[in-house]
Amino acid sequence: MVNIVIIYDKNDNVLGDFFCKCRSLLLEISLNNKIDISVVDECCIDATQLADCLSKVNENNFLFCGFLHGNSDSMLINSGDKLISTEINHYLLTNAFIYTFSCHCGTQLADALIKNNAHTFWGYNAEAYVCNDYIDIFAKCSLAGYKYFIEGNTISRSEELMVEDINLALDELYLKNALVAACLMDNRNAMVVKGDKNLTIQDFQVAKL
Amino acid sequence: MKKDDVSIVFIDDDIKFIEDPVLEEARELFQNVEFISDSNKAMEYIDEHFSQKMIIVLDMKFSGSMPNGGEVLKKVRDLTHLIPVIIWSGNDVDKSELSDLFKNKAFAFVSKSSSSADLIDAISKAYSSFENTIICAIEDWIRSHPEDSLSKPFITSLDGKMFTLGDVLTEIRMQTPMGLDMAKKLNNLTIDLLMRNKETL
Repeated sequence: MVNIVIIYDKNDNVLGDFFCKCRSLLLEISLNNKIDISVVDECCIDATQLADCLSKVNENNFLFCGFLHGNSDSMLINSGDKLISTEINHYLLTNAFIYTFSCHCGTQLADALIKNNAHTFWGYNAEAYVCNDYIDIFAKCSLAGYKYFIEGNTISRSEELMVEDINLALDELYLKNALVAACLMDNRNAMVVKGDKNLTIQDFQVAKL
Repeated sequence: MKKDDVSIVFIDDDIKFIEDPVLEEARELFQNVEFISDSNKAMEYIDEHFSQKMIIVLDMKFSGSMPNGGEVLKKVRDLTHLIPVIIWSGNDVDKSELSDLFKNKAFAFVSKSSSSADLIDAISKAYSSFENTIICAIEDWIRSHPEDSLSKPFITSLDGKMFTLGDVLTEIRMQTPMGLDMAKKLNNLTIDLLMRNKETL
């Protein structure tokens, strides 16, 4: 069984719909791959509740997926509250493979998480964008790496395949809307994967309680 | 002959120039030619139309309390660096004025004693200079959209900032960090497509 913790900022005024779309797609990918999963799925949570939630899984390897805003040292929820931060609770993600679509977190926060024994951080080290009329494409591209990982590839190979998928999407998009393609390419360039890239989904199998 | 799609805005308080042959020549080459004799009204016009393609031909000295050419140029630069401004003056400028003209990126200085061909040549060069930029290509592409689509949300950054296509156009014209970033993104996309052999030069 694989433990997956999903946190998404459903109530965000600007990108709530996009975060919900990513969360739905992630669940769909997880369930379609016949992997026995245990999901903690939270949209309204604070740092204390998160600590309770993670304490039940972080003694073993687990996946942490975050669809919420971010800055260089934190993932943010509920209009700017720090949910995971270098200052307060970076140690909670010990044993995690973190897969997030929060911008800027791939710098200080990612380094602090890896230093505190998170296995891998997959996110963005600069501003990431979503084009409003192309939410499906942006969500699909942002989860491509997760999809390949769940299908059994190493994190390293999943990253390569995700870049290939984004390039294919770019090649279809740029003739229709160059600005949108340019934003998607910028997301590709801001993507960062830090930590152990040799892991596969098998490394996250834990015994059922 | 197809006229170039740009407005040429002459700003000069000497209204005898309204009949100068150079204006007639400009009308034959460019879609719209305006003559504004009050520099205050000219600044209002620029404020209202700065999102359109425009080249300004600007006198330096204005009578009474009207802002002089240097002040008008400064006002234009506060709005955007994308409108070429040609200084068209009958007087020499002193060192301090010249320094300000450089600082505020006047496109050219043409003396009123020069021929009309010289001024038209300067205007044509100004047109080519911004017609060949990627920023101009982006502006043209954005303006090709229906009016109502310009006010719909177009892009949202993950730190929560939302921009309509109209906002993007304004950011580009005002050369804000976001506007410059959009132009840079498109340059990067072009390079990316070339490097991956999806496009050729």
